[in-house]
Amino acid sequence: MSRRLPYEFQKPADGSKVFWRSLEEKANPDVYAKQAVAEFPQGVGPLEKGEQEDKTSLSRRGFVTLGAITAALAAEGCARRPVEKILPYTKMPEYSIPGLSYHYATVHRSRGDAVGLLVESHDGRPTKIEGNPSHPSSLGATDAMTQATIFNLYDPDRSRGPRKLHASGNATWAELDAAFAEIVRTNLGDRGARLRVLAEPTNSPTFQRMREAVRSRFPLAKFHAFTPVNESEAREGSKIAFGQAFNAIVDYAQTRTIVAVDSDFLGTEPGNVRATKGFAASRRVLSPKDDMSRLYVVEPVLTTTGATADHRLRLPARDAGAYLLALAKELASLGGPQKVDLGDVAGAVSKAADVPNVSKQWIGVVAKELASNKGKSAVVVGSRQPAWVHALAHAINVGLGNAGQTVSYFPVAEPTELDQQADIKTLAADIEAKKVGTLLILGGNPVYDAPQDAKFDARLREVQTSIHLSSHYDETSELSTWHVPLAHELETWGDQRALDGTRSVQQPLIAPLFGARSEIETLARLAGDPNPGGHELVKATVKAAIANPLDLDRTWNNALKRGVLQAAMPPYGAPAVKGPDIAGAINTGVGKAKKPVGADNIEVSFAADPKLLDGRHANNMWLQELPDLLTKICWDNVAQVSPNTAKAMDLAAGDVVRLSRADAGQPIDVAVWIQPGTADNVFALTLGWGRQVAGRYGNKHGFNVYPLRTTDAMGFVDGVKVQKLASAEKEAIKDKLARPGLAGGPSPAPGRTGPDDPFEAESQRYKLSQTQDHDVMEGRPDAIDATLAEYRENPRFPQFSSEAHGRHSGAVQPKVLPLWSKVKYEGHKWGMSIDLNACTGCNACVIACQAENNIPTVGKEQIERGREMYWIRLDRYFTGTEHEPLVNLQPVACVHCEEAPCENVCPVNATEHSPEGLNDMAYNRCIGTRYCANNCPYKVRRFNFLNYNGDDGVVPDTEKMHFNPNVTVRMRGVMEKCTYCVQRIEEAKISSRRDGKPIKEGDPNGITIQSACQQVCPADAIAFGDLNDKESRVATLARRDRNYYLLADLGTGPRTSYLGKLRNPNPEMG
Amino acid sequence: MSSVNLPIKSIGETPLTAEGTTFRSITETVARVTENPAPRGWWIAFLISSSFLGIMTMAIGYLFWMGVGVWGNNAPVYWAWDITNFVWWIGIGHAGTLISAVLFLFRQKWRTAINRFAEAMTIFAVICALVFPGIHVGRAWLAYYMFPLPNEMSIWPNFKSPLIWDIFAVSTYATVSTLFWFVGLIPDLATLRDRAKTPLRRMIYGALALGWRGSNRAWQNYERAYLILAAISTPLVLSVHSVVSFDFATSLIPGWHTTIFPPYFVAGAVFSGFAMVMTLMLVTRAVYGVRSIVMMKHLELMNKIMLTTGSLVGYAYGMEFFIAWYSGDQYEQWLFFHNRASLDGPFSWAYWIMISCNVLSPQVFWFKKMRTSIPVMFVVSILINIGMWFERFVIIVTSLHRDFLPSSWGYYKPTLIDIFTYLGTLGLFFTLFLLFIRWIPMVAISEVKGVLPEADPHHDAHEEHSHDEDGHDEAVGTPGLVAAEAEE
Repeated sequence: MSRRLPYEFQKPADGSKVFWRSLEEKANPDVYAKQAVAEFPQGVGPLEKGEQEDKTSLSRRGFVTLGAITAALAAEGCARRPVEKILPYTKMPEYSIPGLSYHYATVHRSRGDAVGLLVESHDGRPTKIEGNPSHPSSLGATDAMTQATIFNLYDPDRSRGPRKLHASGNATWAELDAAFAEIVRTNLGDRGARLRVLAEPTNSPTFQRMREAVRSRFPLAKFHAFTPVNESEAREGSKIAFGQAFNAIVDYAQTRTIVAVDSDFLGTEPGNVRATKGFAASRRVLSPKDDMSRLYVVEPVLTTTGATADHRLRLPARDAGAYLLALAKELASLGGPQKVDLGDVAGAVSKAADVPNVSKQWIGVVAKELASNKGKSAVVVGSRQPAWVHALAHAINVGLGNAGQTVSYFPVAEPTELDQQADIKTLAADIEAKKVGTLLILGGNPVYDAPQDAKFDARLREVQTSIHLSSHYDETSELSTWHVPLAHELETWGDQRALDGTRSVQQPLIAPLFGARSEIETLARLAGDPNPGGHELVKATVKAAIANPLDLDRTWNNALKRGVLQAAMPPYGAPAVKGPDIAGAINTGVGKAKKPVGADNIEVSFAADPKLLDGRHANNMWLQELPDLLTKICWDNVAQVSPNTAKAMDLAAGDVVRLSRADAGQPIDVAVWIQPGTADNVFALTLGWGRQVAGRYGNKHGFNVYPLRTTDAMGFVDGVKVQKLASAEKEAIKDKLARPGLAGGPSPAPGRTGPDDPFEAESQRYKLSQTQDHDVMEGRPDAIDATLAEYRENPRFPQFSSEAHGRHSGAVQPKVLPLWSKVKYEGHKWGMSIDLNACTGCNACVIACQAENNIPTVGKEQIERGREMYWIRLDRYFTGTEHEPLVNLQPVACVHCEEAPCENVCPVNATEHSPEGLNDMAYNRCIGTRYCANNCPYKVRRFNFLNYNGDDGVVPDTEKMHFNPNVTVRMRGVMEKCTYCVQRIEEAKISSRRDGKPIKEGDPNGITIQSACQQVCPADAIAFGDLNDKESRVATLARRDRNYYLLADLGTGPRTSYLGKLRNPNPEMG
Repeated sequence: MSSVNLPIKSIGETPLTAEGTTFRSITETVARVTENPAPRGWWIAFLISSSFLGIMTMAIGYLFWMGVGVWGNNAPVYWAWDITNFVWWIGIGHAGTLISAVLFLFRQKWRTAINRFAEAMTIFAVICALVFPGIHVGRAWLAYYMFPLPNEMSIWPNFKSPLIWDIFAVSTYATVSTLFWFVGLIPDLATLRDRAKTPLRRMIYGALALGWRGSNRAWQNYERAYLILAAISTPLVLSVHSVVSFDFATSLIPGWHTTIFPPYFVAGAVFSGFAMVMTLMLVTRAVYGVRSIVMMKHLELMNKIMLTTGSLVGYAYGMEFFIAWYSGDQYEQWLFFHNRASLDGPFSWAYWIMISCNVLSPQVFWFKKMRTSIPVMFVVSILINIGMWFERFVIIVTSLHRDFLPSSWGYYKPTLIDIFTYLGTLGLFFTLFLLFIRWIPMVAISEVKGVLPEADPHHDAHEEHSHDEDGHDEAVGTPGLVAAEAEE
């Protein structure tokens, strides 16, 4: 059994040959070895292990290199540059050790929030994003979109220089600056009366400071703010309720009951990472005595939040407000100890009508539960719901005593940006009225994503001079007179403010790759600074904010080190509610309701896409390929409809429909997907797809639904006409959906073998690529769940057969005897534990793994063939009915079987067991028989069917820069799979050996190893560590009663175990 | 008298060759095929098959250039047409050795008419099969890692892997089959050498005949060598396909993990091998007019073997279902009842094609009329070839496409390159086969002569039951000797 012998050299047996350095050593080798270690603590260890070099001591070559560098630095003399310590070096600094990575703290804007980051940098290249544990919006975790922004930095289609309208190539920066100076001069004449700036809503204090600087120079200039997925309604609602715009932050960890009304707070709403952390904490059940929170979700189509719900009500988005109203009415009518005082609102809600398709329990039982959990519940409303629904939710939360307990209120960063829909419309109207001469667009892509009634594309053409700052040459850039490259967040200085007011400095890790400017630098130029530097601008803002200017350097350095400049501001505990205003808003809002949603009144809802958000990530191939949690579709968006609606309208998945509104908007064409759990008569759309000028990966994927969206229908609209497209009409839209010919393939991968037609040859349906097309478990004990009551009755439910929910669940013990004698793993014994109860399916682990392990994307066509490369995947199963499905999620990566079926069958020993129990892959030994993958019951092995990482010259150079240098980039014909992040384990072991620190979790002096998926998980669902360390989290979890091993009956002896999922249904809901 | 020397009953009563067949006529019939100019039909067939060979070469070139992704293989169906074709060809390669060696050891003299044919077919089928293990791997240029070659890293192949067992089993089989075939050819090559009219022919056949002079000592050594090789080959018939079946049987995939596989695979291999021999022989027999040597009697006997092995295979199919039910293993039950048999299964069409072709179609051979009808046996033999291809396809693809975790289930569709590669191996096979019938005696001249009545000096109706054992043995034991002497 040589395969499991430890690598450590054996002590020579008596009589065998011993090499010795001195007679003393020969006489007493053990003592001498100890002496040697004591004498050369750093050198001896590695050398003994047969390593070639010792990384810490200074070799002859190292000495000469350092000497040369010192000489070169000295020769450069005293030409001192201002020190911007965090910028990657251009001259090798003394403290830098090549091959070692460094982490820098920075911050990332995520909708209205700012997520603190620690970014890993290898020799000046940022390669991986981690959450910053000391930042409250991150707490060490991130989401999938944040993880993927590292790809945006290296996106090969980022614009590489300024461009002038109709000019064929890039213009020079000097030309741009000259033109800019001219523009400034022109506008100075009339004090900026014809100057407008359109920016995305900001959370940056420096941006605000620059804006004021511009205003002081151009007093008549106006600023507009717009982004297509915004918080306008929520802020308006808070303004109605409290007279001031607040960000409401829910501390989910303290909640017992949560009612989410059309709110995907675990997925796409701002603050999702922090919400997931708290939510998971409120549901952490360690023993049958523990309690867990209960989540009620009302939504039109399944979202991450809905998939996690204990009770889910599918309701058209329009009726969500009516439901909340009915709930409020019930709350107001409760008496006795459960009395809920809604104040002036009670009168308005008492007129609430019944909501169709809502059972009595959904009103009565939910109200009762909320009322009996006063101060421990939360009612949250999605940002696309109208302001009055938000206002009502605020009133309910205050009435329930949640305000100040579970819900805290923080003033928004920029109170002037209230109604962005109105703002963009005003801007468009002003352009039409010839009031605008110069338009500066800072970020965003309004030509693509502005509401249809603003007609922004036509308006932009009318502006005499327009300057568009954006990362890509996109739809808006095409129509602007000037396009200026916008720097990535990891390339420029900035500062940001989280929802709770936590301020952070955004520090760059790399100089702009192709030359680019940030928004604040551009504004500073406009304000008259001839050559502004982001560093000075941000530092000046910080200086203005601190009390004692002498503290500047300390504060600044601290902020860069910790990633937090200023902690969260104190929340407004329970602001006073303006009852009459709310009542008025409710009456106005309810008055607008027309006829109910039904077969003759179809509703369309627009949601932020969980991957592309509003389209800004369209050219990010990681996100393009990322399978949607609920549909498992890659590279496309779809209109989700319920099985009933599809039946009534005779629609099948892949049919393309034309959705049009009688009064407004332009018709859109979109492929249909039949999704269990969707409300009837609803077409649920996601924004951000169907880009035509996004870049090589983003172009012509999915369907653009913005044309249907208008300022009065940003979230949802009813009265939509649905028409199934005939083949001639499909032919007409073909060129929008796929590039013609074999050369312009839809995928980044090589080797397409079929011609590129967006429609199936026979059925004429739109081709959709999924990574999982079988939705049910077929009675197998895979993602095992039980209710909390069932768990209390039988805490070991995943390990035994039971009839929970009428399903067979429970994994039996191995039936098969092991082939070999059991190996006793001494030293480390790596293992993983995944808590299915915590996992929300946010997909962050999938992208984190992809970024950490250099996993290629394969493209739509290869996904269709079933060749995705993810090392960790999210299995999604439906149980229950197709109308009211329950969702079971299960992240699956290699489980590192102790009796690994893959190892026996490999003819060339390319996959072997390590002494620590890892199932290792030797890529250079692998010849690609694929036998291991056939024999893997978990199907977690991935094969490079083609050269997905590209041949020389195919992959753009910038894309190569994101590779993690510690992980091999695999070529075609090689099998790969999860390694438990072996590079992180080895790195820790090396530094443990070097520094003498133990690898021990939770030991302040020790080294903790985290796998990439574990580190990113906002729900702390994944634990990785040493099973031999009884204190470690993974070992503790593996001893829990809910623990089970997937497919344990096969006798594979997996190292990854799962904790069974729990649901917490309310028995009264029936 | 020794019963082993008696022909089986149905044959023994009538001669194994047509009335009036003489030593000369046999030599003439067989040898002239290699001497006369090739008929036009041969050229047309050769052109077609070598074109397919060219297509295969291009398909494989493209495969090497791009990677395995040009095939339809995917996750979870990591093996598909590549291994299906491999097992199919190996199976076809079984009839040769069975007919040559096993029937030789059992003194089944009717084999003489078809054994050369079958042996050649074996070798060509094994060549076709060997194409696939080499090209199906992701990095074909490193496929030599599978051989136990000494190397500086001291890494050996993994001897626990059935693929390594395959390497040994198949290469042994290929070597022994080739040797066996070549040894059997020596006297006939000498005959061709002796008949050669051009120096080139004489030189080539002379070299190949290894200086055969037909002496008594040479015949003695020859017969001994042939017997030994037959004895070595016989266990290989059982071992090769048993080992190939281990590729599947030792894995844990439902539908693969089955103890019945070794005998079931061997029966299937013999079944498909006989079907292929039958198909080819019916064509050759018609084209080259060797009806006097390959008689209806031989064909009928082969049909009986196909009926037997087909029913064995059918029994195995049924037994798999029984075990799936009896074991109570839900994964296996899903595989058999949903993936294969149920019409809802995505690949049930393949399963039912397999059942119709392999189990139902040979049942017509219960009737003598059918057994002796050339068109019927031709159609059935082709159906069996198709059915046996589908058997391998069903085993490999239907087991893989839906295994343990429903999240990973998939479907398989071949690409054009898959199809080209498969058709290309047929091209390779027929190209080799056409070259064989053009240049090498397609029937074992010396052996057929050995079963002529003339080869047995004592052969007389009234003497048959009275002549002494030794005399009989001597005559039959050296049929070639007698035949060769008679020829000279």
